[in-house]
Amino acid sequence: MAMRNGDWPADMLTEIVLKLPVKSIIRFKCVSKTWCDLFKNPSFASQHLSLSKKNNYLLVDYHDSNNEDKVVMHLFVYQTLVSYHDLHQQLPNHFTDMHISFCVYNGLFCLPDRITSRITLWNPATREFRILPECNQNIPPKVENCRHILGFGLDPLSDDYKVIYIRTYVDREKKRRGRHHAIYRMSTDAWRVLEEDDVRFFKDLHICPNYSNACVNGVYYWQVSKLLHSGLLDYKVLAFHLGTEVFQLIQSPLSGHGKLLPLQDDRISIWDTERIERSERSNEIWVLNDEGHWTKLLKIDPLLKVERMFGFWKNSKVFVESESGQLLLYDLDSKEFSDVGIKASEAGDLDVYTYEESLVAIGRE
Amino acid sequence: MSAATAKTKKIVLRADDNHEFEVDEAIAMEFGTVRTFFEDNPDATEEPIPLLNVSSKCLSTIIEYCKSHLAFRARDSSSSVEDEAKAYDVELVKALDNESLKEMILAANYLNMKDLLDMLNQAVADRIKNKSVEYVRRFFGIENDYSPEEEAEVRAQNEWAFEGVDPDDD
Repeated sequence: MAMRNGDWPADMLTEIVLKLPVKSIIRFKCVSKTWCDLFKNPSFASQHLSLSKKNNYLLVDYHDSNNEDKVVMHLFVYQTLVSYHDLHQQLPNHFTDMHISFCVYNGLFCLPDRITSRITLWNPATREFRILPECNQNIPPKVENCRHILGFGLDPLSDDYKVIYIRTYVDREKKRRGRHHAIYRMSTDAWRVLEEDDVRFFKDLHICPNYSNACVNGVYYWQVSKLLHSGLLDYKVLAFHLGTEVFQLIQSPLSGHGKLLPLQDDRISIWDTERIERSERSNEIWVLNDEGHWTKLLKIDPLLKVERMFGFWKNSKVFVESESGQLLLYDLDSKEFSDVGIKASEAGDLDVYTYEESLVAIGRE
Repeated sequence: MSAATAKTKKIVLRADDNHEFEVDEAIAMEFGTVRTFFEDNPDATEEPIPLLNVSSKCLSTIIEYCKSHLAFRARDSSSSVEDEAKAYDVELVKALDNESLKEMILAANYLNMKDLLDMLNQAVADRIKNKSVEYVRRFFGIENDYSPEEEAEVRAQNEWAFEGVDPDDD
């Protein structure tokens, strides 16, 4: 793309502006029409995102016990864990729900509002947001909404962001439960409700809530469970392929509930590290390989008893939650803990994600 | 000009004003274009290599950059050495005014030196990121092709991005 410039070659200028933070790029749309066009180009946004991921942030969502238990969505520079700022302050004004369970992917947030039942897509870096249209097609007239399950990610083939919205409801007239599955595509700004036939095979399975799910390489994963006659729970993994918009059930390598986490190399892992009262956990981490089989990646010291784990930090360390709700780093080699300076109001409160600044445009034209 | 010895083979690099610089082979091999040239012409080590688009000033700075980074790499890859290398880069860039920075980038690009080029590009990005729109136009010699109304409209859509901008004093 040709850029008018003094005697700076165009490709050199592009290399430089790709290294700018999002706020600067937004301001520099005013430099010239050519610069503005370059910045609006989706391929520029995509290249910028790749660079942005190398300077990404840790996002911790919790009630900050160092600050009157206020809800924060705090960013820390990933490489150094130095505090950056709190995104909660910047939530769009229409947001009424105070502590939201959200999805975040490529710097975009998918925020469900339990009070208004509307979903908002939000890009804090560009300060744009989009409130999604309602989707009530096929929902009977008198219902009580029981549970919402959300998924959000990028279909890499069509370069389109999609939301998966699964609602369990009780039909008060017919006195029965039902489940509604809908997919939203950002490119068309429209919902598509899935047919019964497409979802029947997992309709009796309970989908575990949002704290144990992840999007990796165009596939969204949740844990699901089924109550067996024996009274035990059988766990599996439910996958949704964002490209083909098809669900798939995968065996879990764990006998109990685990935590699904993306790894740096774009693979999905499952961690048997949640502390659940009655069952023993193995502290094993399994990875799903390309053929769709799980292989064991490693086993963390079984004597290590922490509340939960949140994934690796720089290969040899793991984020863990202490019994008192502190976020700590555990060194797999030295077996030592280090404090990160984050303390939630209680154990089970905090959640950890990664976040990168993104230029992806969300507003409606 | 010294004869090539078995231990410290020297190579001569010639800047655009014909000023010649003699460097160790290891340093010369940090220059992508020089390395490629020797891969294609392994016997041509006696003649000075002409670097047509590189001034003496740039060449001498780039040679110092290579010497320092080679020394850093020879020590070890600990994070304290990494920090020292980064501090060196910061000092090097601080000493460059905008025009020199541009010359260095064009030279690093011509010489096919990716790490140096990345570092310099980042330095320019850091230098302009908090600056005003007018500063950036002057910096890159860009002509404003917006009408005043068009520009005002684009600005109004993104007013928040204009907060906290450095005043134009250079």
